[in-house]
Amino acid sequence: MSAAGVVVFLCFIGATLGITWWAGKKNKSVDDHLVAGGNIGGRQNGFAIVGDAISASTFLGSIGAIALVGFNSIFLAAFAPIAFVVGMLLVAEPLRNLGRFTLADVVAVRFPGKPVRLAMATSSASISLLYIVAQYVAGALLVNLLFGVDYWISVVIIAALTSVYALVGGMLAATWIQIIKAIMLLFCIALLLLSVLSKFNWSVLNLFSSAAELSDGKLVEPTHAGFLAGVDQISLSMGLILGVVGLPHILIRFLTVKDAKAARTSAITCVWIVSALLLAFPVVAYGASVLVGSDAITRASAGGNLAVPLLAEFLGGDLLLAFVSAVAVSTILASLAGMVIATTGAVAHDIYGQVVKSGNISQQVELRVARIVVAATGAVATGIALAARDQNIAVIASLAIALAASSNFPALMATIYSRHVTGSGLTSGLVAGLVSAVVMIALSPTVHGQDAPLSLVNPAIVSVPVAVLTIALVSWLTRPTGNNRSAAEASFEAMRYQAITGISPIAVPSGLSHLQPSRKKSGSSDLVGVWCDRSDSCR
Amino acid sequence: MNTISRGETAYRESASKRKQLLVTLVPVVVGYYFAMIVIVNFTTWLDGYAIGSVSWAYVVVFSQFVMAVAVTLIYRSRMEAIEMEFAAASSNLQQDSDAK
Repeated sequence: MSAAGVVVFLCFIGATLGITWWAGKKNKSVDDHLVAGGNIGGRQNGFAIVGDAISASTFLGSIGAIALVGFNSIFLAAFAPIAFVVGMLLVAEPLRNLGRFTLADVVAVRFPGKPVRLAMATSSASISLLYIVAQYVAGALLVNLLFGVDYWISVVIIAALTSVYALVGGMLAATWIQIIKAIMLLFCIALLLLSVLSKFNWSVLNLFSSAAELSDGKLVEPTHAGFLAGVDQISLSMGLILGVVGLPHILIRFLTVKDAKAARTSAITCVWIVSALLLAFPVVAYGASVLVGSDAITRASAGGNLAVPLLAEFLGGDLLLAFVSAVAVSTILASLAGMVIATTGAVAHDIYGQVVKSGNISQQVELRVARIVVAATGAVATGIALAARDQNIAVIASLAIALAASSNFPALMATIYSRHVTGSGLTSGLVAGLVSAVVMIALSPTVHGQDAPLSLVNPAIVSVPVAVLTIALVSWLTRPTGNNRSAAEASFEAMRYQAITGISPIAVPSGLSHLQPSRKKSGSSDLVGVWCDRSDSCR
Repeated sequence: MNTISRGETAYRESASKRKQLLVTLVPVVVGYYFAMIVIVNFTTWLDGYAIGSVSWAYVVVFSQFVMAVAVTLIYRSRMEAIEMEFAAASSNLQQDSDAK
């Protein structure tokens, strides 16, 4: 590691620990710990979502893949703006209006029973833990490649830092670390973009022409690998888009703002930033292809993961390499901080607080349990990551995103938008989505190579419909009748009212009072009963 | 029309407009993206060059980023209008109720 690299890296770590110490002084309640008290601004949250969502694999992996393979690899990243637009349209505002700390809270507004909450919490915790393990392994390998630090030391450093961020600073620290990471990433991409263009007479066309000449056009033209590869590409895109909208650490970011309008602003900001970033990816990638060369990139890392650091070294020497390396490490740490908080919420709040203790738990005890869970998550994920060094990270990462697309996403959509779904249908759909995604990946070429029983690498095109059909079928089989049907209808209408207005179904304007499952006699005015806005004590 | 039914009507209208907005925008966004993937993978329509060595496929990929930003702008302005209409209706109902 160069001296410049050490200095830049230590500056970043020092800044993040300073933020954690500052946030720790404000981290007094479980509300602060899990959702930063709902006090994050819309624009700030948009930046934080970018910091949370753009992982090292998107930043380094996608650019490296475009540099080596060419046009078709852009689909590894191009899904992101679409995913966040879908998230903005379907999820962001209802989530903010319905949720408190976790995704299970959203579902529990309509289905308050323990089985549904347990299923949703287990699904969320599993997805987050898998993602944490994948990030630990990928992060440690990256630190090992960039700085030459031993794998196991890298895992321990990453685990210790992310645990301290989450343990001391909670969601507030995670948010600001993600914002700093997003700004560093934007600056880094802008710097690389300008440096590359300066080598090609400030012309994108010159750069593309050079890349085309280098490869007889293969790098810049679409490739057609056959019918099955095309279907797999559709399945991959489906899994990535729906997966992002089902990932707990992304979705809980919408619970950190004060209202639905701020949630909308968050999603819009995120779409703008991600779109701007992705416009620059092909330029940086072809810059690496032409200036560094595919042989040098492949020698450093077969998958092309080091194309960006190599390009940085070529363009700006040790200093730019050090900065890009620090950005790469910050991408891992920032994403991990959010994942740890998501796991903590699912285990401490949902499973322990609401299922084991049936909601009879004080804020102080829940905060204490949350902190214990942070430490336990770090320890468990470290153990798995140390054992999984030689495992294929793609298996773990693709499993996590496939689970999110096949379980959380259909469950959230059914809860928020389907009038006829039942609690049993939802629980069955969650399980069916999880099981089908796991089975398909277990039989896929990702695990078995070319001899795999299944040819599809990405399971979403099958597992998502399986989850949706299971929800529909079991909901139809368990459809309520008589008075139960009226209660279910009223419950749906009350949930829709809260999803749209942000006002709890505890009391709605008397014009809608017939919608309430159990009407509260408040003796209040003709128009307004007991209003329970999310911004006040009802939180 | 009494206060109760007017309140319900205002809410129903707001909910209906939101639904209409989603039913319009979601298929456009998702359809555009998946149409692009299908065309790129199963046809040769986008294989040629549009400008210099920039292929039509790249032009379409870049256009979907522009489309994503355009959808956010449309959604924001339409939602603000819907919310303002609902807030105005709710405010009128509150005043009627206070007057009683």
